[in-house]
Amino acid sequence: MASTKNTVPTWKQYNRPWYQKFGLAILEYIKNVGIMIWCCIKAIPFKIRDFVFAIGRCFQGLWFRFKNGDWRTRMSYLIMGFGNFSRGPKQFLTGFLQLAVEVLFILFMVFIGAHNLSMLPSLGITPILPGPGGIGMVEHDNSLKILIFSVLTFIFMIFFLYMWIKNTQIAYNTQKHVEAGKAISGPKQQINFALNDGYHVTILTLPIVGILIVTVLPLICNILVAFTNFDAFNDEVHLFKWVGFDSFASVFGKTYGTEIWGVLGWTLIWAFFATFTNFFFGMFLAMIINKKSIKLKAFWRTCFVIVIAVPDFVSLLMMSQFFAWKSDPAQTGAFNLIIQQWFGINQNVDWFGSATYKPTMARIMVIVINMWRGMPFTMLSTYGILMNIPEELYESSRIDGAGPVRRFISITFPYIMFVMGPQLITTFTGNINNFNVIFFLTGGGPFMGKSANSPGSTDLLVTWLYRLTVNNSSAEYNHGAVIGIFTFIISSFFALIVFNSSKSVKQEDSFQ
Amino acid sequence: MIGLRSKRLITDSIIYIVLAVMVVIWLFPLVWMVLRAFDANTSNITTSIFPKEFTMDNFKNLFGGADYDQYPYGKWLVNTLIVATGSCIISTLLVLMVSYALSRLRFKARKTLMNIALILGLFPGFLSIITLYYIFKQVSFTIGDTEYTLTNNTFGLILVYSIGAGTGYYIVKGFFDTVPVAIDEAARIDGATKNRIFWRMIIPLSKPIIIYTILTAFIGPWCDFILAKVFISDPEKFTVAVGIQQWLDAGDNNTIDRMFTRFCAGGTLIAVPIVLLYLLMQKFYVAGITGGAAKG
Repeated sequence: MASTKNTVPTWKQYNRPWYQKFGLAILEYIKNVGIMIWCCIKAIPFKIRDFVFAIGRCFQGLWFRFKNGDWRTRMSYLIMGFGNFSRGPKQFLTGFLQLAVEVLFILFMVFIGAHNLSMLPSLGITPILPGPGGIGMVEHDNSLKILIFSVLTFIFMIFFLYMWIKNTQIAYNTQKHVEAGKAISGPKQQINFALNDGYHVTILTLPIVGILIVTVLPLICNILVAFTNFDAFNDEVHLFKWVGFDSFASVFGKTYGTEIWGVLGWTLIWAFFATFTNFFFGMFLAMIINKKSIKLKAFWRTCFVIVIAVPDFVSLLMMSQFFAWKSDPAQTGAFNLIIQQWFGINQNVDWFGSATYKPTMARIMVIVINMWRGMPFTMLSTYGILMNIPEELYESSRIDGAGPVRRFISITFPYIMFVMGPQLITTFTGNINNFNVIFFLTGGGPFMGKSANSPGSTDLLVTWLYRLTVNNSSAEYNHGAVIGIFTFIISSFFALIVFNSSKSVKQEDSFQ
Repeated sequence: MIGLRSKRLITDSIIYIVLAVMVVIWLFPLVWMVLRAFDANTSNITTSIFPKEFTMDNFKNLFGGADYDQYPYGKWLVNTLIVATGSCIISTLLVLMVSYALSRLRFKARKTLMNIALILGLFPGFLSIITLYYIFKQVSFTIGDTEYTLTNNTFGLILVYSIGAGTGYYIVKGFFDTVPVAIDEAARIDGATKNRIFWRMIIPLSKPIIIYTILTAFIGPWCDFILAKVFISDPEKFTVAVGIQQWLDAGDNNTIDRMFTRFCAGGTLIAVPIVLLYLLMQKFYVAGITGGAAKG
């Protein structure tokens, strides 16, 4: 199991009472997380050095191939694919494909790229104006379009540069091939290459293009928008412009004061409780269902799985109305009726505090309802792990006289932590960005009513971002982008930990 | 002195009671929702917990009725089915391709790609969802007299859901890693290309994990709200999530009063297929979520 080869962790060393061991185990875990973060930071300078060296080698290779190449290879530096298609019809396919990349790139640059890149510093100068006689519109600039296409142009430029370097390599290799007197490969061999040694290119191109479009491109554009004054007023009709760090200043003080720190604090508290309540209670649930003498295991499990299976937008929206409230105690939401009619408690509670402004109540409610929704998930995955724990471990511990608590501390819990540990941090990151629970249950409320765009008491960073950008005609895209970057940094902080600790990435080859 | 047997009996009975109480708490709201779907009183605010008068009107109104033009639930259901099926097919293919490449092929950029995918995958996609919306809005083309954009368009929605799916290769790759390499090598000796090995050997050998991938890829868009909400503004093209969410939009109490039980009916209908799928695939689901991690 975990790295117990050289050093025994402190929490196993001494004959301590179980609660001390439990606390020490958690401390140990936090310490390990700290070490992981430090290792990440330590690695950054080396990564940069490697990157610089790689670029150096790239230029070295370019010069080397130019120096040793014949005239065909040297021509390829100007006309891509020349080193291939000038060597006979067998190489036409490779050669002209490369030429096509160059031609398409030049066409793109001439008609779209150059225009947008030249507009990037100003983000457009021609505002929207009525056409001749007040009918229609004249040609105008669109700041967002310029921004998006500029980023796209940069991506294409990087791709082209890569293809260009690759082209010189191919040309040089073909030249060496010819000089060695070997036969040049024809289209058949090239297709065979695409299905065999080069199969990774064939199979990965489409997925990577997709990821670039929906993940990387919007991410870069989003970061850039944070440095503009793009909002509902400066939208497609009006032009927006670069404003430097003004939007950051506005989110972290000028417009919203200290509110963002309040939202961040609640986001982290929420993520902590949402993660750990689900984890511990879900684990507990899995353990009691998994107990040997308990019958109807499949039935119990299935009952809880049904709750997971109902889509969030149904179950959570329904829950928000299940706890509905109206001031008249005889005519109110279902849960209030239940406590009145079945349990005889004469109370009529505004559970989400939206009408009577009870922020703490609303916060506790979303955490509790999140348990209703999330515990079955942990139960299901823990259940799978529990079934994998070797029975011999329990047998031998029983012979040694270990009680159920001792067995949990020494066998079950470490085993679950070992498998679920990295997942726990992923879940934590997921909860920082848990849009559904907050949006469907409270919509971010209760609100103090300062201004339409101020965060509510249960607003997470992401739900606040949503209201700033989607919901109303007073959208503040630039502030949304700033909050996006802020969330991005917070998430990446935790993501890096998972990244470094996921051992299955490092040891994958040992399974094959 | 209590004997070992009776001690166990007591513990077990306590566990049974705890489990029974929990099951009631967990399932009660859902049962309540299903019962309210048959309620003649349409409001969320009532005097009785369960319906006093039962009716099928809520279900009938979903598929026809006075305000069907305003709230065409039937159309939403068809849209949801199209979007979920389309993006399920595309994203399953993409995930399988990426998983195979990263599991079986050895090339220089492999580790780098895996690291980048891991980082990208951990960031929530919808932080930049608005930007994505504007990017898709730029793509427009004209067929005949109508101009199509990729936003407010079912096909565009399918693309948004599916083409970035490659980052979610993790679990399938974990499964491919467990398929012995000896099989590949034997096929290579017999002259099969890597392409052929992928389609004819690895995929047939990985049925459980492929079923898991297909089901999760289908359930994702079926249950998703936010992407559809941002990308679609025409009520005819809504998915069910966007459509029935507006019935409960807290800003307008009159709508909730009229529509709450219809929401229950619509919600029940959209949940039933997914619940059935989950129950059928429980085995695959557990294998899937623990499979990726258990090798750690």
